[in-house]
Amino acid sequence: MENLMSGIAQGIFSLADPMILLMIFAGTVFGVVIGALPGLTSTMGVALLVPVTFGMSPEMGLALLGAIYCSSTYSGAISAILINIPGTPANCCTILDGYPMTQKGESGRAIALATSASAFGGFISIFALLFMAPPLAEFALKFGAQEYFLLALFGVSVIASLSDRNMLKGLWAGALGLFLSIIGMHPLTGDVRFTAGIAELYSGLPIVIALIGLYSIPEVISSLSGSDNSEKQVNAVGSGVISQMMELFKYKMLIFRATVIGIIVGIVPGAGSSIASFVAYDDAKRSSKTPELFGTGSPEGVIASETSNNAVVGGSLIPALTLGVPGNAVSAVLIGGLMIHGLKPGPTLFIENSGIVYSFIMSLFVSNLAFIPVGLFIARYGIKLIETPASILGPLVIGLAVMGSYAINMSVVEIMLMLGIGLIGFLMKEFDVPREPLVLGLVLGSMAEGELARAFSLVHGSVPMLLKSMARSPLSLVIIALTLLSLWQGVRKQFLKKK
Amino acid sequence: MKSKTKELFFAVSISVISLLLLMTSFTYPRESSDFPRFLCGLMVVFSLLILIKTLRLPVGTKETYTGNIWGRLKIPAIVFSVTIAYVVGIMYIGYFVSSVIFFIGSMSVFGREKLLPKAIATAGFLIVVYALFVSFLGIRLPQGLLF
Repeated sequence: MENLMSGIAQGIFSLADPMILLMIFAGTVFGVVIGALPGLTSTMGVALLVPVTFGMSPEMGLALLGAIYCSSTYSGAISAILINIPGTPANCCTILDGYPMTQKGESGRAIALATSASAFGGFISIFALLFMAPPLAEFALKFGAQEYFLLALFGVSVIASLSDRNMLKGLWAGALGLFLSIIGMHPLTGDVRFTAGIAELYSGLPIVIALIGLYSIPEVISSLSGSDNSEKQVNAVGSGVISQMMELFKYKMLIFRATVIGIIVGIVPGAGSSIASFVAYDDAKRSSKTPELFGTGSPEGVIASETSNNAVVGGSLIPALTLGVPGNAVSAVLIGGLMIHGLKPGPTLFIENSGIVYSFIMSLFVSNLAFIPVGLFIARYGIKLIETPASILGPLVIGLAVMGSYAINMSVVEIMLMLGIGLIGFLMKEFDVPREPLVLGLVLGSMAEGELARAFSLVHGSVPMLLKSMARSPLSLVIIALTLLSLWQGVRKQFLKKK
Repeated sequence: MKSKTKELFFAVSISVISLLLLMTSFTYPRESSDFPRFLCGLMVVFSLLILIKTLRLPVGTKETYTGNIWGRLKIPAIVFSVTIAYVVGIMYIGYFVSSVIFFIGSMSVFGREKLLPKAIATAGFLIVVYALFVSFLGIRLPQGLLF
């Protein structure tokens, strides 16, 4: 405890250095821009600036990288809310209610809520990182292949709640998403499947490309053909933004649960912020007094998604810093950043380099506050996009989708893949098939297949042995119980709706 | 077109696609296609259930739209055609030239704004792309025959 307190004091003291504050500001501006542009992810943003930090002091370099991580996870919400394209996969659930809020003329309110929710989730998750890192890191180590597979199944069980309009079509779309995610090489045997000879698909269908295609092209078609008859009146960011941000605290239980979900999902290596936002969104819908408003512009949907995905930031750093096991791709790159500065992530990091580590953690607190003014300032001008005529905005959105798809691997083939997914998205919209279960399947499919294959290989391919192993693991039993509960609630809701 | 016909077309299409995918999954080694087979099987089951549900719909229910199909498909067809032409243009005549042609051309097809706003939007977009993607992030854009 004494070490912790002196570390915190050291960390706070380090923030008095104006250069560190300048790095946080620079990282925040860069992160907000990167996150808001579809196709550019948090991982890419952090990875690009890791070499830049080489000549800096460790405190400055890590403050810069941490600020990019926090702000880019948040700012994907800006494009999700304004143009219905999630800036990063972490914001895929924000569009479900964020864009409908824009259609209702509440874009300013949606952005204000997304900003305060992201800051809150991120801020609390850094507290978890500061005070609960060692016990929570041990919890992450309890996850084996079978638990990961069951975790993926738990995620899939959310489909029932995402398919309110048509359960069967939602289930079919979910299965299609799972199928699309397993295109490419088998995780263990290396056999190439369903790629149609396209080399770019050997490592799987990139989820960012799928998200861009699925949401951008159908929306452009809707706005150009006039079938999107919403008002889209501009609700400027700036007028009453503080009171709109404070509206967050009307939903105390919601933000508490979404934060806990984000932290827990974050500390599980490999799970990621998109899974956290789906689980938190589903939880918010189930516990809401007005679940029928979800998908039509419910502020609760935006809050749940944005709180949880930013809470993943602190959660993912817990195993990364204490065990050297990254919780997701961004924290893996951050570990690289730590190593460049001669730090070795692991149990001794907090003892041997406490000054640098606590300075980094304290800078994350500041980063979670810094993106509030920066994000709102950028959104204030970005919001003008809504006023742009569809005939001008439509081609620009297509141009952005094309550039975003190309930028990932500098491949023209991936632009064509994005267009193919865009066609699927258009047809799904045309035939009233919900797209969200497909996205969920895409996020979880490869994890489910890979972990199932590994779980099977551990029990020599025996189904009874795998079931026995699950029955003996308390963690597996808890996840199975949660999955059954989630499925039962979904089916019960559909049954009650029919009655 | 009545809603039932449209739904029937959808249900039959996804059933055929799901069946084809299931059949294709049997062409891969068993150890690497168990999971895909299971997923394709699920897709077949769900699509057949959708088909049965659609067949049980009374004719003319939920008549959602009228008018000719071409009228409805005109914009999507144009959007996909011009975007494919744009991507082909990127490969053969380079990113910047094809982008200028795509933006000005498609903005003219979809709207009646004056040339100035179209030119400003195009220039603004390309300046951002050049500054951020090319200069800062070092992304090499396809150059093609022209710039």
